[in-house]
Amino acid sequence: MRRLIPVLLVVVALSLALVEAQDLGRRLGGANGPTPVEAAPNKPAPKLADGTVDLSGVWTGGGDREIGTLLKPGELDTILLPKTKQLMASRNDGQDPYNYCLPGGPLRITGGFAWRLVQHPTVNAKYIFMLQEGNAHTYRQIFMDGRPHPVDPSPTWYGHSIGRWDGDTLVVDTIGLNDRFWLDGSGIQHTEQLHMVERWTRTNLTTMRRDVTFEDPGAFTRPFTVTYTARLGVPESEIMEYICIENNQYGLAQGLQPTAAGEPVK
Amino acid sequence: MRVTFGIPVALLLAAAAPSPAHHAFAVEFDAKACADVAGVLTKVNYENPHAYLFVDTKNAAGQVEEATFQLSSTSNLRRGGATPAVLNASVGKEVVVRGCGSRNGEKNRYAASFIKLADGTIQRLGQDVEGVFGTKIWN
Repeated sequence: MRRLIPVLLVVVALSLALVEAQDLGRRLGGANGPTPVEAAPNKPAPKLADGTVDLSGVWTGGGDREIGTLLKPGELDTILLPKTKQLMASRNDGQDPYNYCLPGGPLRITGGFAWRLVQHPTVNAKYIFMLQEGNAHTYRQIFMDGRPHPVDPSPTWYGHSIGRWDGDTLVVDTIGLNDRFWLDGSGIQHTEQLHMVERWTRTNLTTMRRDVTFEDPGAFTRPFTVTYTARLGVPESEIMEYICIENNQYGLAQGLQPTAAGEPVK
Repeated sequence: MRVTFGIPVALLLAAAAPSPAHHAFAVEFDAKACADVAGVLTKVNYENPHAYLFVDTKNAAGQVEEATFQLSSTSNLRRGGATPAVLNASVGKEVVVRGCGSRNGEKNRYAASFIKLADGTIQRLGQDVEGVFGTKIWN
């Protein structure tokens, strides 16, 4: 017992230190986005009055990691066409249009910043909106009324998205994307032929799984799928105003002279 | 106690990092060129995509030089407790800012990690790229 006392004291001291540290960590904040709510894997995803799963809320993550890190080692190399590989190799982080306050496209809109999912109307939604706090401070709209894609869509930053429910999973199909954004932070390029299919599943109260399949014969050798996870923010979470072009000095500390928002430094 | 306290804090913050900020830190700033910069806080620009602090420091010759610190976004600062009122309360007073220098060598331009305000409290202002928060240097 005497031997146990010092060990117990150390355990208690370390536990207290950790609790104190966690409090301090929360107080000081850390990464972007809202503080994630404590994981609750045993609490199911909430349902609306009509039985549809409720995906609404302020979330963080779900599109922030580089695609290569979500694949098997070496797999990305087999997916990228030679020209895609070449373009990616020629890029550096300083050229990412995202850093010049331009939109990040449908994958990165749910990246490191806080984002809110809105089902409108709440029951039997005809639209789903994803509102991004950060970067270009933009939104993405997903049509839930059964309409098809247009035959000749305008190439845009978020494309044309139509959604449907597959059980409790929201399936979003997107075409009509422009080729002006980087698919992810590693500089993977795509073409206007990009076709994305996302499967959003709220696996429990606090977690949203996002399986994304990319298909682009102009950039990739074959379709491929990666999985992201978004975490629910604490109940008091709100998205806040963030106007990236307000005073973007990106590049100054690197020795670059940023152009007016719109075009990266070449 | 401070040392045992600091290690879990550093581990916690290391585990919490790094959700990508608006801009990748390493493109612009050098994590190996960080220093404690002491001086008088003269101005707080609470704006996006990054807030800025301006501090009058004294060089080796005793002359005043203005240092510019790039902070996180206003939403991150607010979520972390560094509200305008908290920062503005130290305007005109002595503060110490942990900052990492710019890659282009521009003098007195930093990315800020933390600040010790005039009342002695510490606030997080940006990424802890050195992993020093909670250590004996910053606790």
